[in-house]
Parts: sequence; C-alpha cells; structure tokens
Amino acid sequence: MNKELFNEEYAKFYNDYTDKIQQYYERVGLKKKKLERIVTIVMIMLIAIFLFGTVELSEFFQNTIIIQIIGTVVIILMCIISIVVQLKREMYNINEDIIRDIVKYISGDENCIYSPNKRISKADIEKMELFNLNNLKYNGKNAISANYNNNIMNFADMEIYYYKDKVTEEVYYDNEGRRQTRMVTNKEKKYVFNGCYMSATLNKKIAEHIYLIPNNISDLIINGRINDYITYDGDEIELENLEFSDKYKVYSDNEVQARYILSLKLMEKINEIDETIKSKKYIVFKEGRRFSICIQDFSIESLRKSTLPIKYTQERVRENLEYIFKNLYSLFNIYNILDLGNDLYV
Amino acid sequence: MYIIAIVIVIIIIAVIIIYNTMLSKKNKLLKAYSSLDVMLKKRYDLIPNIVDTVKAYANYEKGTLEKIMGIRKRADDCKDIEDLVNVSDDFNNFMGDISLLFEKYPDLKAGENFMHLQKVLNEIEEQISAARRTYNAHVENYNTYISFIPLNIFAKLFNFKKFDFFEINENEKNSKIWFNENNK
Repeated sequence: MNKELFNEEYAKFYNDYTDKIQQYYERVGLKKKKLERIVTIVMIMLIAIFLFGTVELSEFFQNTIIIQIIGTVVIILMCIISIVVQLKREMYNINEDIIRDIVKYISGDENCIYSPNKRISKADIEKMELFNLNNLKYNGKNAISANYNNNIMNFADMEIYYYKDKVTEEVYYDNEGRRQTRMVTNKEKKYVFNGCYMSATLNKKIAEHIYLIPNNISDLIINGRINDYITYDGDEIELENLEFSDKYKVYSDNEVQARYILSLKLMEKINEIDETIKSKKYIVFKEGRRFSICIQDFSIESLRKSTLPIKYTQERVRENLEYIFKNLYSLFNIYNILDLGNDLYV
Repeated sequence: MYIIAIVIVIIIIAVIIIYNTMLSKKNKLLKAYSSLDVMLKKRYDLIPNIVDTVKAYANYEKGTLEKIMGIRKRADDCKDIEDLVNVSDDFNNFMGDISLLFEKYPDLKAGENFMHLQKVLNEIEEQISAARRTYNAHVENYNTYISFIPLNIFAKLFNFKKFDFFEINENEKNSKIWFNENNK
C-alpha cells in the first residue's frame, strides 16, 4: 500500500468524518445518561427494600447487616457491569455504522450493503470448488457488497471447519469410592480456513479454473488429509517469479491459460498484495470473469469489535478509526493493485 | 547368474523410464509449440483488418502490401521455431510502421474500429506471451533433462535434440501493448 496515498486519503476522510463521530458519541452519551438514570432508580429501590424491606426478604436474609451490605455491593456491581455491557453493545453498533460509512466512502457506492449477521452463500463457496463441503461445515458473517469503479466487490468473514473426535481419559469414582478411568469422546472444532472471503471481476476472460494454494498448506490443515478438505485439481505449474513461487503453488488443467491469467505483471501485483495483507491466501480464478481470494486470519469482525474508547478522546478515536479504515482500504485496494479497471492489461 | 540377469533387467527398466520421460517431456514441449503456433496465426489473421483500418492513410505499394498479406501464408509454412521467430519479427516490424502511422494521424485512434482492434490485438498478444512462456518453460525443462549426465548419452542414442527458445526482439519487448502511448 502506498503509505503517502493512504495517509492523504485517511486525513481527508477523518476531516469529513469528525462531526459524524461526535454525533455518534453524543448518542452514546445520551444512552449512558439514560442507563445511569434507570440503574440509579433500580438501586435506590433495591436498597430501600433491603433496609426497610418486606418480612419475607428480611427473614430470608435473617436481618444481618453484613448480608445486607454484601447484597447491596453485589447489586451495585451488577448495575455497573450492566452499564458497561450495554455501552459496549452500543459501541459495536457504532462500529457497524462506522464500517458502513467507511465502505460507502471508499467505494463511493451509496447503495453498498453491509450486513453484520449475513454470511456468504453456500452457492458462492461451491462455485469456488476449493473447499469440499461434503466433509466440511461453513459459517460466516459481516457480508459487504459494494460497487467499486463498476466492479461488484464482495467481502465476508468465512470459516470452514470440521469436527474431530477427541478422546480423553476421565477419572471418576464408582459407588464404592474406588478411583476409575474411562475414555470420553469430545468434539473438537478444527479450522481449515478462518478468515475473509473476497470476490471481484477480473479484466480478463478466464477459460479454466486456476488455483493458487499457499505453499505450506499442510501447516494449516493439521490431522487431516488435504484432499478431503481442499479440492483443487489440475497439474502443478511452475511459474517464473521466484518470490511468487515461494508463496503459492499453482494448479490448472490448462497451462497456457494459467500463464495468460498469471502474467509476469499479475504475479508482481499479487506479491504486492501480500506485502499489504501479509496473511496466507487462497486465490481461485473461476471460469467466466470472477475470481475469489480467501485471506486467512483477516476478519471484518475484528474491526467491528475493535475497542472504541467509551469516553471521547480525539486521539484514541482517530487511532481506532484509522485501524478500521486501513483494513477496509487494504481490501478495496486489491482492485487498484490488480489494476482491474484496465482493459488494456499487461 | 541371477545377479547379472537382475542387473540387466534393472538397466532395461531404467532405459525404458528414461526414454519415456524424454518422450513425455518432448511431447509436452511440442504441445506448447503447437499452442504458440495457433496463437501466432490468430495474430496474423488480424492483418487484413489492420490493413483495412489504415488503408485510407497508408499508401502501400503493391509489393509491400503483398509482403504484409503474405505473412499469414508464411506462418503456415513454418517448419521450426526459427521460421516462427522470423515471421514474428516481420509482423513486429509491420506493427512498428502501423504504430508510427497512428501517431501521425491521431483521428485514426479515435475510430471505433481502432478501439476494437486494439483490444483484440492486445488480448492476442497476452495469449501469445503466455504461450511463449509455456513453450520456453518446457524447452528449458526438456533441454536441462537431456543435458544431465548420463542422460545426455541416451538422448544422443535416441536422437533427442535440444530445442531453441522462442526469443522476442527488442521492438516487441518495448511495445507490449500496441498503440498505447503509456507503454512507449
């Protein structure tokens, strides 16, 4: 990512956005005041009950002052925790609004969609023909769809996993109090992929499936046969760019097509994407024009849950905003790095 | 006796494996060559369209025109990679002249025909580049294999000869996208 360009873009966004973020904080402030008022009333009522309460309650607590004090402290703590939880939830809601605003700002698409609870469709995963859904389960959230320079770009958090039986030894005591052991089988969740899915339209026609698989895939899939989970096919093709070949294995049934899509320039561009987003990636070029990138260990959820300070301080808000902006920008910037708007590609 | 027989069988199996590997590598190379040939012919098929687009601006002499139109036919007669490279060089020279013409007459560039032609030509150039890279990768693989000792002895024995790379000339390297000013 060009740092100067990014800083310029971000400064521009932040200047335009300061007023809006203050509005969000006012919303939190109002909510906080409302919560505090409700909690204060509830606390006063409860303390009154404890001090001058009904016979049943007094009998229950046996009228001891210590229990009354402990009870009151517990209630106060619960109230504080409840306020913090409520405010955090409000902050998540604000982060959702911020993500929506940033996506709108970067893409320039007023009709862009961000659905925090929507996941990528099964059909989209099946179309990739990368993960074997017969043996795997999938889940996800935070689906984003935006029209960026006439290219529909989709992002979503995606997790592909399976359950593995984990047998452990459990100690128990029988009726006669003797120590016994037995084997217990638990289900353990194992991830084949946990990250972000992205799809966009390439500026070239793709005639065959081309798969770019991370070189050290066996590190990602532990205790499983790769072919049970990852369903790439075709011959392995060795390409000219060493840096690229160190990171990816390329598979396709049509070598000329693979080299047509993965031109020397495109391999350099993919290396550039790897410098911006360092995590491992699966890249699939499908027949037609669409291609998908699955970025391991990168999630929109982490942006949604990034901690905004509950009290407004300009510096921390700026930092948090920059974190969200930078990550979303790096996703959309894939379009620019790959130069997808260029019809006269090289 | 048995040991000698086993050694002979092992040698025969080894020779068969070596021969089959050489043949398989050669076949892959020839397949890549044929893809390259097809792509190059696709490119030469565009010559009449290019000439049609520029004929109002270029006063070709009859001989020159015949030479240009003859490129496609010469491509059909190519027997080896050297012939392909020669024909490709002639095409590149022709395209170099055409590029100059487009520079001289900017209104030529604005035409719909030109825009379409540019897109088609660039796509074909990309495909040729891919086919050439595939061919060269297989040539390198095959040539390296038959150069290993003692495989080179078997290569000579079975008449497996080295193949030449398909090198592009400087003119073509510099003008990857025809007519695009940014790439000059």
